[in-house]
Amino acid sequence: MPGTRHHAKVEVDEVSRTEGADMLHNAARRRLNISGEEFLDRWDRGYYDDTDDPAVADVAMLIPFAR
Amino acid sequence: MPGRTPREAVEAFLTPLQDTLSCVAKAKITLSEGGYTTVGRVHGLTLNRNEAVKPKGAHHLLLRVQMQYEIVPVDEPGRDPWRVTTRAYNHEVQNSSGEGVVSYHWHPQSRVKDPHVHLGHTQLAKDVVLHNKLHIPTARLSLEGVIRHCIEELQVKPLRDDWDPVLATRKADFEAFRKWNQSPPAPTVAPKPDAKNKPRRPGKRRSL
Repeated sequence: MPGTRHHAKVEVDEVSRTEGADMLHNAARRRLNISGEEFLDRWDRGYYDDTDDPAVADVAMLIPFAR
Repeated sequence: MPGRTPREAVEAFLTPLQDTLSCVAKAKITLSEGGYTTVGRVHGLTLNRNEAVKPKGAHHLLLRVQMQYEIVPVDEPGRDPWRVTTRAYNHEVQNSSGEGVVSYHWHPQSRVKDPHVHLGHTQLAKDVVLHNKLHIPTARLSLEGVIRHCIEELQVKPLRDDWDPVLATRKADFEAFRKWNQSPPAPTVAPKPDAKNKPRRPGKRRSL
């Protein structure tokens, strides 16, 4: 890419499954006031299938981090 | 962009994102476990372990980035055998209190499967037509487009002088390699566990 510099200020960090589950739990608690475990249970049961709440999407995006 | 190995494909996927994000933030991209090499599953990507970053600018805004991606084989002869495909994105500009200003969504596992934006409740008056759960349709958005919007429209201060050509080049790369723009392919999602026994939440379903 001519005329530009690659900046090394944005590093990459791969977290463990345990750390990822903590991330999801923290997001579920903050956005929905439930535990990460409860969120995953609700997600798997289809509880959120018809929801329009952006907060649910915010937490659901972290599912690959947790399992 | 493809790669000879899964890791190479992921690195080719990440490099434009690193360049794009460096235009507005000093941050760390967080990948889920196995995100560099594991094939056959969806991986997660966020910044600073899902903490919003704080670009400089007049409005003291925050930016949260979330993506899901998968390492998939390339089905074109003569090309490197692996590439990364985005499976969902969910980016949000927030005010200084962490409340949503505008959110850019594509999460096909949900009821609304096409790309859309949400306006944050902080930006809406009471007793009006729009609400923060409303899905406003858009074409597929790139992170480069979101960052450019932050700089050009939301007074976020760029951290590098060459932000304009960087974003233009990376957006061109994105448009060259994306497989869809307006209508995403049908999601290939495995059925959820115990899908037959789903106690539904009571309440009305809102239709568009």
